[in-house]
Amino acid sequence: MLEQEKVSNLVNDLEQRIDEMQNMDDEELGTFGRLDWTILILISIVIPAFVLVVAR
Amino acid sequence: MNESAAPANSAESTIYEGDLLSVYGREPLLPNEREYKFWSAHGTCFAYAIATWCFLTGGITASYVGAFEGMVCLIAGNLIGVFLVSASLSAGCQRYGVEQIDFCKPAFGQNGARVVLVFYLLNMIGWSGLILVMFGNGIVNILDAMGYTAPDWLVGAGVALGIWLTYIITTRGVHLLSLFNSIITPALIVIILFMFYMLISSHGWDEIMNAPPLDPLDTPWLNYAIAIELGVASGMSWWGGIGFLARNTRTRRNAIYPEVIQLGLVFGFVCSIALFSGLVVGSDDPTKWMVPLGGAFMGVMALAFVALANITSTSVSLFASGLALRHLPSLHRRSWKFIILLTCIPLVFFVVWPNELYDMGDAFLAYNGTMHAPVGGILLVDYFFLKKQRLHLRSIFEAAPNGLYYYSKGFNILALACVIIGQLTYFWVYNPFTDEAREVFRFVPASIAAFVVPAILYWAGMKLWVERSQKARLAGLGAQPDRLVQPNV
Repeated sequence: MLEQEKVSNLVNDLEQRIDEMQNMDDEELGTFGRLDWTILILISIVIPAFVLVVAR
Repeated sequence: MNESAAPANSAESTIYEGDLLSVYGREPLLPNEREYKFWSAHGTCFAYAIATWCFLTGGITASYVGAFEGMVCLIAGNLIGVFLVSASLSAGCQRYGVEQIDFCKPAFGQNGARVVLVFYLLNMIGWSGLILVMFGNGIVNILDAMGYTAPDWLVGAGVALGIWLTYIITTRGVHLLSLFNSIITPALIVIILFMFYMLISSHGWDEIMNAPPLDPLDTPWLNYAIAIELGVASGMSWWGGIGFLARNTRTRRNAIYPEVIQLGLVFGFVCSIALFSGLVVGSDDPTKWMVPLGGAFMGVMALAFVALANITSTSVSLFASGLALRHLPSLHRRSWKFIILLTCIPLVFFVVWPNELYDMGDAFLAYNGTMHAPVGGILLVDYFFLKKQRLHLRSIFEAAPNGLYYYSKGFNILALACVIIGQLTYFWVYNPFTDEAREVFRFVPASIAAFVVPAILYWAGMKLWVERSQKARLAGLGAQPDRLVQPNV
């Protein structure tokens, strides 16, 4: 396959991927709601910060 | 991922020079091409987290604070640091399947992201070199403890062995890396628990908790503040590997939870083992303290731990570095083996001058701390508050000026300026080279200040200046075509 043809295939593939990922519904990549954010903020920010202040 | 697992029902992955350019390149990774599910995501994050950098961090912390305070600072600080830098990266890289430096383009611009790339490569390869030297030193320590006199060149030879093993794993792809990690992870868990048990059974919990810090500063509050800073900065230093891990996960939960739990919580716990050993044994290096506790068998166990832990971590680092190198136009379509070979070349310096470069490690770590925070702050604000979690994927791969993320000659000057402001903020609050600190450091870790200040300035600057000038620029260029004009792959 010629170099130019390879590059052209690559760009076509990239275009397809861009369209597919851009148009994909968020839910197709797994649900992640407010509860998840709340849990993460609690275990990663609120509780650690509280513990650091208390331990000081 | 192996080639047989290439996408079947969507875009066909391009094979170039024998490599899938989605998996071994920068093309957006489709969900069905992604390797990591629940256990493999946790296993890979665990194997990436556990390396001798845990011992380096825990050992430094032992200089400033005792066991309880140190453990709190390391675990809590790590959790905070990891979450702050991983929230945007893991959400964005997982959602769009993009590589980490590509994710920086919406904020930094097409060419501005390459400035971040330079720092990124220095960080990833520098860390890899440091832990491979610790692997080489481990071999020497064990031989010394067993009564043999190890030659000086053995450390360099250990680094060379580590590079070779890493090259083999990394060139075989994410699938083998995942498989390797799934075997290594249980072994690492057993060895870590065993080391913890040996330490507790030999010295007792009371002795560990009552051990004084090794070399504290005269100002008590400063010791505690530095320990928090070490925790937060360590957490933020995962910035380099987060995009790679998230891009390869199929669900958002599998992207972010393993990062917070393994890179934050578990890493903090393993750092604490090194902190304890540093306080009661006087060494954070398990290849030194395991032999006196249990003889040659323990030494071999410790060395096996160091070898396995460091090789898996270096493999993840080099894989991510290889993907990042694809941003250089001359490497867009080179073979994956060639790319990985390139990432190994700087590591050769660690073969020739292992201990000389290792001794510069403290300065390297300190400099890293000043860079992760501002970049992380800017990316968080950009992705969540300015782009509202919606990226224009085509513009990430568009090198022509009509792309949304082209800004001014490919650079978002505001973002780059904010990084420098963040670094200056860090040094203003706390100078890690001299341990001088302002009063504000008592309440706010330097990494948090260097995260928040540039983030706020970036948000304000984008709202007041860049977004307006972008509108005017794009209006002058006309409507953006729905095909790539100048693809940057």
